[in-house]
Amino acid sequence: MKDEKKIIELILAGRTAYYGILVERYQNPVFRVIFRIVSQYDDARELTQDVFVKAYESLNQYNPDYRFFSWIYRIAINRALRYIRSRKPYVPLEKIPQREGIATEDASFDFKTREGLVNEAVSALKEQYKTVVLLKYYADLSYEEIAQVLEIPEKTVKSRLFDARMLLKDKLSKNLQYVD
Amino acid sequence: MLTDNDILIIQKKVGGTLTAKEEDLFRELTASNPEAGKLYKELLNVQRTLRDDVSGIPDVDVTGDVMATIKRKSTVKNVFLAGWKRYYAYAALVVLVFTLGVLAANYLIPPLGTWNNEELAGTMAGQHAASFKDHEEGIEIEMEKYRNEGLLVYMLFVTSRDSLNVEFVPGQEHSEILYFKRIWPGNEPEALLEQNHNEDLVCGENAIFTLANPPVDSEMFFSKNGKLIHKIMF
Repeated sequence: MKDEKKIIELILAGRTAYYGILVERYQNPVFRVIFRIVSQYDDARELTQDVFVKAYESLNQYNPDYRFFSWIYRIAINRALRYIRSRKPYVPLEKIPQREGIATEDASFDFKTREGLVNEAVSALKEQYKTVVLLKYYADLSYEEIAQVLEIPEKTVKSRLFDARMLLKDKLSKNLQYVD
Repeated sequence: MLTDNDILIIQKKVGGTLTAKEEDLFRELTASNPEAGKLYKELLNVQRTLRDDVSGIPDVDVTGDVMATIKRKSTVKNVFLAGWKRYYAYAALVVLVFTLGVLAANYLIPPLGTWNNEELAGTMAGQHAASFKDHEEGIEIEMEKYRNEGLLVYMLFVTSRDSLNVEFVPGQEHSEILYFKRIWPGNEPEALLEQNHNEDLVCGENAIFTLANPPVDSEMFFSKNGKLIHKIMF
């Protein structure tokens, strides 16, 4: 955290190139969170770029008492959720799981089907559960870090994650039997 | 039948956060209760499925594009803000309003045949709608409105010492076209607002926003670091 505080001080002093360090450090966890929300690679890539540019433009609003990642993830989740709310519903054909006539020899098709089912299951979660799942598994944050991002007690993070797992268990075990 | 505490132990085992004592409890639980073993396997499967999904997501490298965008925006800002004067904003305003007026006349208003001087006069004149100053926060907002039959446009001139978040919340249900856009600096994509959809833009130092056809009870919030500085109601 100390090095990030120093990096941000340098950026705000005009040493813009240092921002590249933060982008490199967080681009993939941020991308994975956004990708699981929007489910389209190109859109997720563009949104990830957008998030980092917006974060740079708002850097003087950032409170250095909090860790940079908690701020960037909050921007990323809000941006991605806003994007899908404004987007017309669209489900690519390859993401619709088919229950009959599956070519089981085709592993890539099975992966897409599984990915579609995971996406469907996670997307169907209420926002409070979806965000903890995304931050725990896709951003790989600890309970303490998730609590910082969402500004809720750690106990609440655990409770929501436990509830999310129970909800996902029902959805995934019911549907994945068709894939396996 | 599993108790809440049993489920908690199983969840903590899945998450890898059991204490040594809790590990013993878990072993006893799964040895004595098949339902516990089943639930543990199912939750472990959820965890494995999610982790497999994560590992299947390809990496991305946006560093170059992000830094290039920042550099490009910074160059434009330095060129145009080096000698920022309010009258440049008004010049941009005149051009914009003239353009909007032409578009509105061509596309939104039915052909009127011959336009006489009375019909044309006054349609481009702006009216002062609101102003706000907070010296402590270093913020100044001036709002003017322009009406050209069928189109009501608000122009907001914002000067701020620090970056502001500007959020527009549409009010009642609306069937008309509704736009909210930052036109200076840079050019934000135009936000065509749907029902119950808020738009959130960032404004730093000096900015001009346009808002077309806000419905009744719409609100615009200006905030800094999560603190509300000013609110405008339409």
